[in-house]
Amino acid sequence: MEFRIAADELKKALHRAQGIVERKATMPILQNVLVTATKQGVSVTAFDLDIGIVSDHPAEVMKPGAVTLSAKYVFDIVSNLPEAQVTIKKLPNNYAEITSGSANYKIVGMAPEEFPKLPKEETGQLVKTVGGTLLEMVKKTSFAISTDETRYILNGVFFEPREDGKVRMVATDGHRLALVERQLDGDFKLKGGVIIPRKGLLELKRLLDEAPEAECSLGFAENSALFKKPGLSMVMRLIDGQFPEYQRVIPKDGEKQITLVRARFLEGLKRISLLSAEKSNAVKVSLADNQLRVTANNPDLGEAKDDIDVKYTGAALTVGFNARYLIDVLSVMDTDEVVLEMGDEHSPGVIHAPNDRSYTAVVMPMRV
Amino acid sequence: MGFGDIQGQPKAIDTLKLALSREAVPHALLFQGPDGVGKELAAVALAEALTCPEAPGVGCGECSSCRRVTKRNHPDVTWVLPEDEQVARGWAGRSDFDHTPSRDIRIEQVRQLQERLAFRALESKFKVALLIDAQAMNPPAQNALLKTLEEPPASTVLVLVSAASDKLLPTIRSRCAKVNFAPLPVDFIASHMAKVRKLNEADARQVAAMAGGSLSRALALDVNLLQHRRDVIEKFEALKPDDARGWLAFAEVFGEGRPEAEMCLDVLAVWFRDVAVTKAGATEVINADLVGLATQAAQRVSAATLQQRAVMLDEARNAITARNGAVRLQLERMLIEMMA
Repeated sequence: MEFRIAADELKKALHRAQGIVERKATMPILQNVLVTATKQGVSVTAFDLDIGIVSDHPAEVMKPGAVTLSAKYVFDIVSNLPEAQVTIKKLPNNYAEITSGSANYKIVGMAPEEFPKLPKEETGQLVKTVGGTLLEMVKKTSFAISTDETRYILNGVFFEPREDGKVRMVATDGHRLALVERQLDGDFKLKGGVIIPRKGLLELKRLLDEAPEAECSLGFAENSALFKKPGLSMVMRLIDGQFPEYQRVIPKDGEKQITLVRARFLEGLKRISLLSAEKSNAVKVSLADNQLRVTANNPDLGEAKDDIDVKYTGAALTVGFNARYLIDVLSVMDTDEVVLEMGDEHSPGVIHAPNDRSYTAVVMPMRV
Repeated sequence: MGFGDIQGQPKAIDTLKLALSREAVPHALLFQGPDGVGKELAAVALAEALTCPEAPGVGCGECSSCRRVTKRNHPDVTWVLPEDEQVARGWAGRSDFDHTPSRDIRIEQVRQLQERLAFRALESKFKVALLIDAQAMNPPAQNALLKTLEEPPASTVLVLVSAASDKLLPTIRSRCAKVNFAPLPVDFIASHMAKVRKLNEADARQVAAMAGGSLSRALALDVNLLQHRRDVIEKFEALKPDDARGWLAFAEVFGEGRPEAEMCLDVLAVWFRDVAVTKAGATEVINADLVGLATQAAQRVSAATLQQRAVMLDEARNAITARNGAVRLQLERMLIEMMA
């Protein structure tokens, strides 16, 4: 294998790889990137068992082939080259020769066959999607992913295709749940749903944030999700297991529905939660005669209340919530008004946009 | 690598092969038996068999997948072992850890394993976890593993490899299917050593007896030192109860360095066994070339004395290997106790 590439281009690829390659000695090969040269150019693959990123780069390929290079050392080398162009050549015994102007390196590598085989894209597998919609869905659910490693099934977002080209994404940690349903036309060829882990989603969010309008596509292989945008593709391993039956957690139409100005409710919660206990973030939300009152009580600090005018005439009701959970939901929503549904003091609160349940968040009550 | 490469463990290997052929490999296995008898090799061979795309359930040992299992580069096979063992094997450097490499398998390692097992397998049908020196898991780590042993993720096989499985919590042991690895027969080790190290039969049998059924211990023994075997035994038998100068000279010669002293004690241990065997009227001696001397020695000392000597020898060996005792001093002390 031999090719010539702009040092900056290679540096860009290796820089991205820095965040992904394994630093720990779990699998020696994963401290390396796989560099493959074909007639179309050069691709650089980095993989850490959770996610893998393959980036394509223009290069002048003299001889196709593959080599593995230490992600850390070669990044440092490429950052210090004397000239703008660099030539990489494979030598016997998996050595790689890096030449730029007067500088010459011979680097120990590992056999490219040792690199894990990432699932390859199959024809018709990928579905073109709008990056913006996908990004919205990830943002509106990922905050509710559980961080409890012992419940690994909840350490990701459930991705579930529905009828008419709609796709649902659901995340829950047992205390709250976020569900979003959007139009993502195309057949994902999935039976039921799959669970995409947090790490993959965060990386996906980052890639989508870079260029939300760019054309991109998403698809699923048996064990992983594939995401592709021009010049770059990503593999996300899927979590093994059955996602809980989330529908059972979402209450049917609550008895008490209050429409609130989202920004006003959000501000109120933020101000009052300043006085809530640090760990629980507990606030009380009370309803009485056309008024919603948010209160917090902290024996060490004192108490606080904020009143919001609403349309409500039913019986008085007080429910405790974790303010953080409500704030998370309200922060990612984008409508001016939101509907808060409540049952009694032991039933969960539900938040959605007025007359639109395509985004629904459920927050379990607290005993306060 | 493969099941074919594991010798002297037909029972354990047949059990595993049968489970594989019936596609009924238990989700948790405990490979127990002394060090250096092929437990880890068998665990690796099992991992190959479970992940091999060329010969599923058998393991070809040659395809890219099998080779990556052996080199720890297979994404569906996770190795868990104590950090200091990783360092000892050269798999990790001290700088890879932000603390002194631990002798224990820590709870963090078990959590990482659980995180990895949560994913679907990447290339194969099965995910395999190899817990080497499983008894090194400290109690919190073992308790953390319990849940995985009880409700493992789908198509997951956990293999616990341990030379001291009695140190594992009973709750762990009871959740694993046990595969027993026996100490290797002396004949097997002797013939292997004769072949590999080109030893004569007496030396090979000596090494095999000293290794206590462990091939890796036999291979680790310094064969060159063995040449002194006759020398050690003859000098020891020449010692006289009334000649303290002779004892001290013996301690001086063989207490020169740690390897020599350990060697001397190992040789003597086997020799005491030979004398005891001869005294009991049997002829199965290891030092076959010294039968005459063994017979003389057997007539000279009582069975009780032999027993005492064996205990004293063990004490000295323990002091030297486990407590880093001064070698010459320990030899002197031992001889004084034996002779006086």
